[in-house]
Amino acid sequence: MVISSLVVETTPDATEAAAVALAGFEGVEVHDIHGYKVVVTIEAETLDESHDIAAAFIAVPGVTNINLIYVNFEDDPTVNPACGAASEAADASSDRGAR
Amino acid sequence: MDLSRRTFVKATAVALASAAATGTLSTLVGCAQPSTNATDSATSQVSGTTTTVGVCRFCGCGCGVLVESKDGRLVSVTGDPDNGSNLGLNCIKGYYLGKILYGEDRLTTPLIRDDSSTKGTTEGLREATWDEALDLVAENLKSTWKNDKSRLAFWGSGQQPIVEGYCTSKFWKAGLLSNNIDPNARLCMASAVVGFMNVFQTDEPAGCYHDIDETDVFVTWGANMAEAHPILYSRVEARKLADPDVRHYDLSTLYTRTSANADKVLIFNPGSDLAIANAIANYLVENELYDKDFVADHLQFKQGTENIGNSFEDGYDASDIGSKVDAVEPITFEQYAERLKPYTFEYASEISGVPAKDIQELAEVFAEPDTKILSLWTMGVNQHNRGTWMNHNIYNIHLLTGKIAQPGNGPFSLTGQPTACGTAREVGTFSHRLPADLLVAQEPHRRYTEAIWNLPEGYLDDIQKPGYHTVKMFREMSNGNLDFLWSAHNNWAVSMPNLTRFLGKGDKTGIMDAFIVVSEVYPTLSTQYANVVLPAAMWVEREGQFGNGERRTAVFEKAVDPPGDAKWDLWMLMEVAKRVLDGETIGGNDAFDTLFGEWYDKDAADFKGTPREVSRAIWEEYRTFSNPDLNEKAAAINKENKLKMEAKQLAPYDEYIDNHGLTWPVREVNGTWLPTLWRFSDGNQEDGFDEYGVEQYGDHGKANGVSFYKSADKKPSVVFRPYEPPAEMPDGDYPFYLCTGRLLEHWHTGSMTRRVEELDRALPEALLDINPADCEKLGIQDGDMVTVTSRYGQFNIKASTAGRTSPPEGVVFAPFFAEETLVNLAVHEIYCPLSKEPDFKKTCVNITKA
Repeated sequence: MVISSLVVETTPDATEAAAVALAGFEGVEVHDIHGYKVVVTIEAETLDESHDIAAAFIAVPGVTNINLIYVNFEDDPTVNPACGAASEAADASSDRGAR
Repeated sequence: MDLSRRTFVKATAVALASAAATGTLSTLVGCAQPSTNATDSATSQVSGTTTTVGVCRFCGCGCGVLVESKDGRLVSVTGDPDNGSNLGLNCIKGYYLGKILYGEDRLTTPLIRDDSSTKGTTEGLREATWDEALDLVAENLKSTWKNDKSRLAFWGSGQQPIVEGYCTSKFWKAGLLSNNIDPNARLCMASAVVGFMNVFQTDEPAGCYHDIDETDVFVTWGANMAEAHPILYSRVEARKLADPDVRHYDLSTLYTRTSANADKVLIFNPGSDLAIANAIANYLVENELYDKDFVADHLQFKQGTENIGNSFEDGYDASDIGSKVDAVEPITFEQYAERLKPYTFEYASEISGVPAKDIQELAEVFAEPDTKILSLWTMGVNQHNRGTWMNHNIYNIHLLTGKIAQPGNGPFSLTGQPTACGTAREVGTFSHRLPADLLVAQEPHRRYTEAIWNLPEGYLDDIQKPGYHTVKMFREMSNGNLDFLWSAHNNWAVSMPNLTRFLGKGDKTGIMDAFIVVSEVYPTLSTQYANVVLPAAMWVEREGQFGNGERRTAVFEKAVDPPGDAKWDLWMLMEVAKRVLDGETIGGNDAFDTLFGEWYDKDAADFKGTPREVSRAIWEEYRTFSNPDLNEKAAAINKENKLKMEAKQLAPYDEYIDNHGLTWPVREVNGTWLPTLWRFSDGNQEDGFDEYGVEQYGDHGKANGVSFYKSADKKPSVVFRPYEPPAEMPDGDYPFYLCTGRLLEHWHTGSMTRRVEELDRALPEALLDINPADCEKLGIQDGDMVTVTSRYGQFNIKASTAGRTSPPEGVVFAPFFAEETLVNLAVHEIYCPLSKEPDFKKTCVNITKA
């Protein structure tokens, strides 16, 4: 499982609605709102999927910028094939991020 | 990842992002990752992982990152809050900083092409040992050198880390006594460089990225920051959100994502930005709305050679007019005012197509005395047949209004690559340069360089004539006049203009006969033309240094080993230099040891120390150029010739690691090395001002608290530059301007980013953005394949009316990343006569349904 965190910037009038919309993405969890900034995490199988989800944020009304803060990819089998099966088992029993 | 680790990682992710949102990331990272040995490295070790300091290598912003590795592989990347360029934020390309190392087709062993007739295909390369490959490269370089050194060349890059660029330049200029070395930065930054040198007699901006946070008005000139400089654009947007009174004017030849959020967009006819800028200057002068004290204290006025034509012919540079393009003469302020007079708003409107009232509105903004204005520009200005002139015209406005070198106020030329400034410009890997702004043509500059390189006096007189600039290099190769080319950190077979000519697809087939060496990390179109491919270590597989657009030098530490037999570029260079210089002497001493013996043992075929120690040793020699007191002979030459080399002062190597990057000039104050954020601006060094530079060479008490101490007579030059039209204008045969550029997902030629499935899926192919009205006239539909033909070549591409950009009628846009489309087959190689930078924005084409 690839875990990343981002600060998503919005227009001030759209922050709350954008946060709700962001939380609707698969693997995305909204953790906090600071002014016009929304703190989110993405959990996905691979870096590619994580990027795909983050890139889609730009289509959310009011979103102006997407800043990546942290990404951990030690369990991405496309980057580290050795981690494959073990991490899949761990992922199956883990708390997948809130929808 | 087990559950406890997973919980830790998730908690880390949340904590870091929350801290970034509240501006406290630095504190958090500092607590989480204490440095274990600050005197040697910023490396830290926590929970079985090792964290090192890095710099993103995907664009010109120069964002800092912290790279975590475990068991020899990268496992995470975090924005570095202590790097002042990005303050902990990364764009979403940051997802791939780690992954980019692990592509399945990484080059891991040297390759040799035995049959040159296979060039241009995916066939013909076989695996070889390093000794066989290096012997073959050295044999060809040495035989060319001994036969006719005008027939060899090196083409480098704004991605070549600093110490490698320094050693390459030293090998070429002092070892081979050749100036046939140029970087791909010639394609993106040369007009900015010549503009800086002409105006200020020193390269690179006075301001810094922090200006974005303080300005009142943004003016973007030919810059699609939203796609090409996403993190800086994020900062622009943050500034606009923080203060609703902040305004943004976007000047462009087509609507972009940057235009989308601007308050006013001025869409102008290609090339007419010269007239718009002059109209603004004319308004300021005619209405006496310029800063009179600033003009009196700081400025001198000039005009230069005009009606300079264009570089259609290979012999343009040596032609009567081509050899006079740099000439200028002093004029009075009144004469300057007279030259501006024809540039009324109406005249500028007639040329540009921009409503006169919109130009006037922008001029009136510049006339507001207390309004801080930040002009930002990139390739629309630099890749321009009058690119140097357009740089001048932007400076002219900011100089007339005194809006320069103060927080929030300034003309700021953005860079396109992570170390276009640090290596190409500061090291001086151009065909006319020596390190630290020095020029081969200037005798005192050669003497100074000889002193630091420990060469006999007069040794560099052989290179006083500049060598081949980039376009000249490739023109000569296509003409069969180049026998040896080595390229590194670039992909010229996609990025160069006029590839129909340069790839031998027309009647000029010199590329097939030249011996070409390509140092690379992945197979590219350029490797398909290589006789030898040398597999290189990539990014944090070795230690390196970048210098970004705000004069910030930063180190990226080695985090993991390169795959297979891939090697550090510096090792390849040393091994080739060792072979070529075998038996050669300089001043009676062994040539190789004179140049490189301090850090390389040629008998052991290895460095004398760790990558850190080697980098430090090279850096210490390099920084002597900006610290003349470290070399007695250099100090005397500096003083006698008033070179003012301390103006670009660099700090000891480890300071850059401990401080996560520093902006030069860096000054030692009570044992602490302090950066400069605003050059020439008088004030406390601790606050980022240029206290010690002004104190040493400038004057206190001048208008706006600045002193341009590096300029001749301490006065920058306002040079009148008129409007002259593009090299080609649309006509019945070729009715459209083709503009090329970059889009967010793919960096440059996509040699790295296109290996990322998701990025490639997000932007899988190059599309030709075209106005719907033009589609209707041509009888084509959205999604149709079309053939784009210029006087130089043609390519096929899918037309789109809903692409990233929205061109006006008569203009089309295509990105250049896709080698299967290869838009540069049709782009002309006409360049700015002063900077020799090609104009990638204004090739005239026709479009037909394929």
